[in-house]
Amino acid sequence: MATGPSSEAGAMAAGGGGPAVFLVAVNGQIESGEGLEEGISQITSKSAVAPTTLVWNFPIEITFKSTNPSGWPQIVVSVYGPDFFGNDVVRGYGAVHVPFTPGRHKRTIAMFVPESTSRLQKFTSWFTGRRPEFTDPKVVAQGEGREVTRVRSQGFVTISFNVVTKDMKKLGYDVSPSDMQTPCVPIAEGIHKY
Amino acid sequence: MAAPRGSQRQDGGAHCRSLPRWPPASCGALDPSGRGWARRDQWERASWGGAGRCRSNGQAGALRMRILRSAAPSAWGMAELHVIGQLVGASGFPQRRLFCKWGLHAGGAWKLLAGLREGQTQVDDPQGGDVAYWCHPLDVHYATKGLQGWPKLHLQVWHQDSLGRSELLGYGFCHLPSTPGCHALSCVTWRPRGTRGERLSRLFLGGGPQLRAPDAAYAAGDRFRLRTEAAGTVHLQLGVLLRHFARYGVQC
Repeated sequence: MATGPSSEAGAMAAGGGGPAVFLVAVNGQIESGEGLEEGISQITSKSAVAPTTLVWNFPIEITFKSTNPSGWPQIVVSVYGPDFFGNDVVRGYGAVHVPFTPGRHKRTIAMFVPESTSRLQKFTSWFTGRRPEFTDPKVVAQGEGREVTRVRSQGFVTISFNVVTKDMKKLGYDVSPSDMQTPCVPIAEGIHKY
Repeated sequence: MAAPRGSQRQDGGAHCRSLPRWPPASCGALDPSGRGWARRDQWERASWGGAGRCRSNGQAGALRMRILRSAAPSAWGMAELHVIGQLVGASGFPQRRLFCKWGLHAGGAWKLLAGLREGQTQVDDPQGGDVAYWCHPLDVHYATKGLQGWPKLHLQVWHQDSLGRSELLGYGFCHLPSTPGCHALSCVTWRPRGTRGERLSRLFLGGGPQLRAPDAAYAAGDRFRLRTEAAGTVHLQLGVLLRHFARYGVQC
């Protein structure tokens, strides 16, 4: 199976503008990948035209190969921005699985930020500009060890994907209702309808 | 779906029992040329067609091990289900700072090959709005011999207050989707209502009645003694990949 080029058009409604760092986290038996697995976008700000939106429009092109869908790749996004004193602090982490159905998809993911454990630490970190961060952003893509984390969610990032797959049927995988030859009512793919 | 024919044959039964348990990640070396996969297909056709008897245990055994090591981890003769998605968040709960304990329960015919069977999300305190977002990844791989006991995901939404105490806000469950593709699911939740005194004390002190056996939230059985009230909704985005279901004549 291979997934083809995808591009990101980001929009985040929180704080001041900042670079977004993306990283593709892969947990399973992924064999070979082509293309950059990590990248840093430009620094962007809001404007009068779009006062609540930050636009990165950052391209991502990756190809993976595997024979087992376990550990399907995820895109992990970290957004950084300046705080009141001008230090670069983390503004949000988020992760989303790369869609496995071929076609064009848009995913809006919520961003969250780790919270300080005590009020004193909160004040100290605000003052010194050293906010709590994840040492390894891949933690965001995993399910273990998250029960001890307290986070604050703020903002969303939108990623649009164009996915191309190869040989899924040959390996016997059905990825869409039409593969099963009994079409059913398509289900809307949006979140944030609530 | 019938059990594979090999396991019912007297002479074939021995070789099926001797097949090793699928090691989860140790056989990560895949065969890039794809030749291992082609060989597995041929071997399957030979044994399912009825004409394929094992040549001799030693040769067949060595061939089998080579194939199993190089092919994708499909438990022999079983259909597979992959669920790849996220526990997105929850809405409609009266408090913020929510977390969710989730678990997967499946019938006896289902075997979990990879992924976590249960977990707990982070505690989220939403800044804007009252929707808590967890973005907790779910990646499970099941193999099955039958359709009974389709896996279900059961959830408990809890609230953690500023003092660090946790109180239950809702129980819910939903079956994993049976159609391949991407699904956006909303799982409704409920919580035990309690007597008037308990409701009053919950108002002031928090807490409240919980189920003694949390399995009752998703187990089939009589619940007529239980009085519950509605709680919020948990939102999930799940992608389902099926494999070999059509081969057994199952339409999803």
